[in-house]
Amino acid sequence: MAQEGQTTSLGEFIEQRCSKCHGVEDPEGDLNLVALENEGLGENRDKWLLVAEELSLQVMPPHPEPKPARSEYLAMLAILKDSLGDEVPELSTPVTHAPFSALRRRTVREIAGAILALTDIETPVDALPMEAGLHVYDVVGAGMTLDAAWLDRWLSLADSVSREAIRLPEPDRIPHVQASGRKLSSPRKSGGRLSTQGTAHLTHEFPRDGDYTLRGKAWAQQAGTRHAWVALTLDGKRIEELQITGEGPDSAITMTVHMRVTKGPHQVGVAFLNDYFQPKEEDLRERDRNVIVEQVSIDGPSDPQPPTSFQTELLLQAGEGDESQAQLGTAMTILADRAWQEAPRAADIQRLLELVQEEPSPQARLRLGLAAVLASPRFLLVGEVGEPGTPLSGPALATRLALFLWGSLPDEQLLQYARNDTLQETDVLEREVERMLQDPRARGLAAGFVPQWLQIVRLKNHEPSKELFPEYDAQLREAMLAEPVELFHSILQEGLPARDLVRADWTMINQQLAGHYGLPATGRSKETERYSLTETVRRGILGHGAILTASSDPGRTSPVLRGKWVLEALLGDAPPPPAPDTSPLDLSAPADRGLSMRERLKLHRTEPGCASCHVAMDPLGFALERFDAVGRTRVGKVDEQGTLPDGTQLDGPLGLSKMLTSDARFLPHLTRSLATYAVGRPLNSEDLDTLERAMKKVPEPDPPLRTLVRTIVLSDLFRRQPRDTPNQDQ
Amino acid sequence: MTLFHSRTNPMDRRALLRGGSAALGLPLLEAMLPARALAQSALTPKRLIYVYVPNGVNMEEWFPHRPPEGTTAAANATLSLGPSLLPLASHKQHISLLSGLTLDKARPNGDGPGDHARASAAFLTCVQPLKAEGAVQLGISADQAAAAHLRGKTPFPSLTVGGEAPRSSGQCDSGYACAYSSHLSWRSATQPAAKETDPVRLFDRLFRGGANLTTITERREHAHRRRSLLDYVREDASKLHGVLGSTDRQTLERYLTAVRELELQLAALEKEDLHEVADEMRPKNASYKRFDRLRIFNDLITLALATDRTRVVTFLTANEGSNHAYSELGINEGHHSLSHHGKDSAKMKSIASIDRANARVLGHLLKGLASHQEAGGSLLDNSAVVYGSGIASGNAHKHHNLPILLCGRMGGVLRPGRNIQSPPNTPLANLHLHLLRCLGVNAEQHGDSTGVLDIV
Repeated sequence: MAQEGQTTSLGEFIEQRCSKCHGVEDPEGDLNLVALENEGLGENRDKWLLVAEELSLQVMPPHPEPKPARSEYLAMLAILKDSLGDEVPELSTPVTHAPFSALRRRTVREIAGAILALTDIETPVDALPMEAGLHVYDVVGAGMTLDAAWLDRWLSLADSVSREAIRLPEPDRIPHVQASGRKLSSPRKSGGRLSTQGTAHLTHEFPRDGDYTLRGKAWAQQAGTRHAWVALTLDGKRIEELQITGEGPDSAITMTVHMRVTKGPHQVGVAFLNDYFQPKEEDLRERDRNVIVEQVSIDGPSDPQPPTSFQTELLLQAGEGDESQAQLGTAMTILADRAWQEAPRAADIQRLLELVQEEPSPQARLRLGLAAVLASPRFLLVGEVGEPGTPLSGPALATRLALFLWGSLPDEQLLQYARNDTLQETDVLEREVERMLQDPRARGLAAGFVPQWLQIVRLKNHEPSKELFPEYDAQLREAMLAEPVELFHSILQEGLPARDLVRADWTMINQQLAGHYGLPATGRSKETERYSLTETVRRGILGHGAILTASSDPGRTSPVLRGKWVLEALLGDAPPPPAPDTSPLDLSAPADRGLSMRERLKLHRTEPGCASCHVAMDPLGFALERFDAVGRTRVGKVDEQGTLPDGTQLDGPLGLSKMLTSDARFLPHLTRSLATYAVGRPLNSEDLDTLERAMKKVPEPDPPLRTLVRTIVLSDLFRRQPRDTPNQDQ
Repeated sequence: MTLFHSRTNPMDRRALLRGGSAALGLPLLEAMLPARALAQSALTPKRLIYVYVPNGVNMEEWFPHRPPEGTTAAANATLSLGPSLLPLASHKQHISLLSGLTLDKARPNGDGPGDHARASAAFLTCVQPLKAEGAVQLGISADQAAAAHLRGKTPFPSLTVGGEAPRSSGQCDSGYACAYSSHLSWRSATQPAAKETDPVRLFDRLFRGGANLTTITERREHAHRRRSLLDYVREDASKLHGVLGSTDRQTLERYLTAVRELELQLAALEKEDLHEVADEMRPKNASYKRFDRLRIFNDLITLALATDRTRVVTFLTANEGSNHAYSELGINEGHHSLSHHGKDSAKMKSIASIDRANARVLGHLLKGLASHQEAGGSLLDNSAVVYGSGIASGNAHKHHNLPILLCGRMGGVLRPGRNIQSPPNTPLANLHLHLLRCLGVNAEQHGDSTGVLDIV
């Protein structure tokens, strides 16, 4: 039975739902559905199939027209199917929410943050094992990628982190590199064979300042009255010279030098010092003196390294340096206590000590202990299993808080509140949030959240045309990626309104990016600093190179992509993707069609199936046309006006900034995005209610970003188990 | 140059595998292994390799322009290739060109847009992927079904390799999880197999105990330590496991399974008859140019198969929907953008040149496999290589008559060198099922298969 307000016949549906745009008068996309309906379903099959497609995807009627119920769509598709047959598509499945396990693996980003907090070692993300994405935010469903291949890589990394963090008094393994034959570089590209004076060498990146053993092995083909002279060289300088008295490979000599070498690339080689060549000499064997370098090798560094400061501090904290079992146990406890969500128990430490007992030295035992602490599921997995709606335990709350605000591990103070179960008290939690946001580590929130929220992660795979934008390079890209993170971080730390994200007339950039934007950068330092934008039309993130570039095609801007980005990332109002078989806009078609991009888009908007979304996207994108495909300001006349579906006129980036500042969707979407990132699961309707209730209590009309963050943390959404019991495995 | 060394230490009967310059390619791959290596086993193992290219192909240049003369049967007996596949001409005797295969589960079937995500997700699973926020639901992929069957036979049940890193967050295609676009290989309905995208780390994982350990002594010590560590974490995980409810066990169960598999891997890597690989074979770094990188991966795949580290490999050369601009081919527009060519001849030409470059890389793999001799012929003779895409023409996002090549003899069960035309809408899954059966997997069904592909 149809519900109230639902249409039941096709005629009724068209009359009520479609005729406003697709009626007799000036129909959109030249599609007059009223007339079509009069002719019946037996005619115009192609057009009806198009209608069916639109209905199946639920893109028509477009926003902001009221949306028909699912049952109504189903009924209409059934009617169409009766006449048109199986080519009528099924109603698309709406996006569903999956229940989530309360326990998840740390993401690789969070693992890198934890390693840094624990050991002071920076781990490049590409050194970490890769993980697959499930959601806009990496925290959602993290842990999906967890199999032998992943764990193998992670254990190897934990191993190398522990080697770097804890040094042994004796180097455990002296690296050896060698080169021979073709692997040696020589003036005539003849490998190790030197027929004239010159050097055959190997270029090696010395990993650190240290003691190395350099060796060169060579033999000679003698001629003339003197023996062949050779030298072992470092960067061309002779460090040992030797006369080769024998002839042939059997009398090869080896020069060996032990010496201190500085970190960095150096050339180690064997030089031939006294060439002799008499082409007219009758005795062939007396004609030519040559040297054949068999091998050049480098062993080292062989000197022990002083303990790292992490190592020294850890042992200091663990008590007197008697290298006893007790000290080792305390050191392990400290490590596990900081790295694991739950405090280790005596039995856990006992097991760690048993694991490492075979190792030859106290340092080696500590090293393996660190690797084990990191390899353990107690480090890798976070979250807590509990009854629906119950408060999180202190440790689980502390872990969640540190991951959200710092992308890292809790510090000692937070751990204390967690372990004595006072963190759940509102005033303690509130104080901790304030403290943590003041801390420099709060950059972790901006660094983790912003690139995902703004979808600029994809900049890493985006390659602007080298022909058109030769100045775009990896350095500029990194500067671009840093800008929105720095802006967000500054707004957060300075207690500024969240809307400044789309309104600020200042930014945080380095000299290179300032130059790229055409800002006077002379006399500025190379580091990131604050620049005023009052003389420009750049406002907040809308003028950020990262966004403007990531939402462009390699060779040109894309108003459509930019408009889609504004709707999706900033307003949470993403248009549905284009229907199958709609022809994508062809902007690179020959210009002699005589149409501007705006005209082509206009034409595109007349196509049924395209109009509904493009009327909302295109004007938003056109407002950013002042900026080119790598975010530079375009000079001269730029077509940057547009009209939103509700009639609002938009004029350039300043107009867009104004519109977004007052748009009722901006703050709620930002809050929802932050909250999703904070709790690591898609928000269900219950969560959204909880969040909305909390936000209603925010008194400021133009709330500081910090208030939004604090409100999320203090809400039940963050502090409690979800109310909906996870009821199905994901 | 000596390619094959016996260790001087009589206690160590391991063989050392050497090759030519490791900088690029393995020109001296042939004769690397002594023929006795695998001849000792009664049956030379069959290998299964999947190589995927995203965004479909230029179909007009993939299939031969003019159908071969004569009756269908006669025409099919000799292989003819389209212009894009000409780089494979010298391997013709090893290749069959398949037509008529369909990947129905990559079609919308009510789920709307997202053909790219579906194409890669369904290619080896032949299951319709779930479109949902923050969730995946698919099925086991053919390579993983094979790996499950072969578990224990080799140190690595399978290898999953990729030319592009997966994205750990973000939106990839029309509401589908990014995991679909970047993973062909699925261990279960909800678990993609982790993909390796760094050639150096792949080499170290396969041949150097994960840490560039160059001597066997070092690797033994490392393995010993690793074993104790695995013991330790297994116990840790088991303790946690006890206190969890069933829903929350899943992550931990994955962890535990991984631990168990690593234990088996360690044991298998210590077998005496395992072939060592010389240091020259270690790739220099991760920053090779795109096609060189793909070739390096192919070399490593060949090495892994030749040394019996694994028998099943999946190689996603680029993520589905990849918009890489092939500037190395003089192409400045992104691959995905180009694939929607709207019949523009310049764009179609660019697509064909990408297809051709990819075919050249396949040729490199086939050459490597064919040059390694073992019992029963070459490595290629004992392998099946399935190469292709889950999209036919990228322009229309169609999933029927897919561009698929089937290479190798798989120990004599395949007869390459033909055009194999299947009736329209034959499920791709039928090919998977056929190959799985040939591998000895006792399966009645794979994905949406309707039977075994008739290619005898």
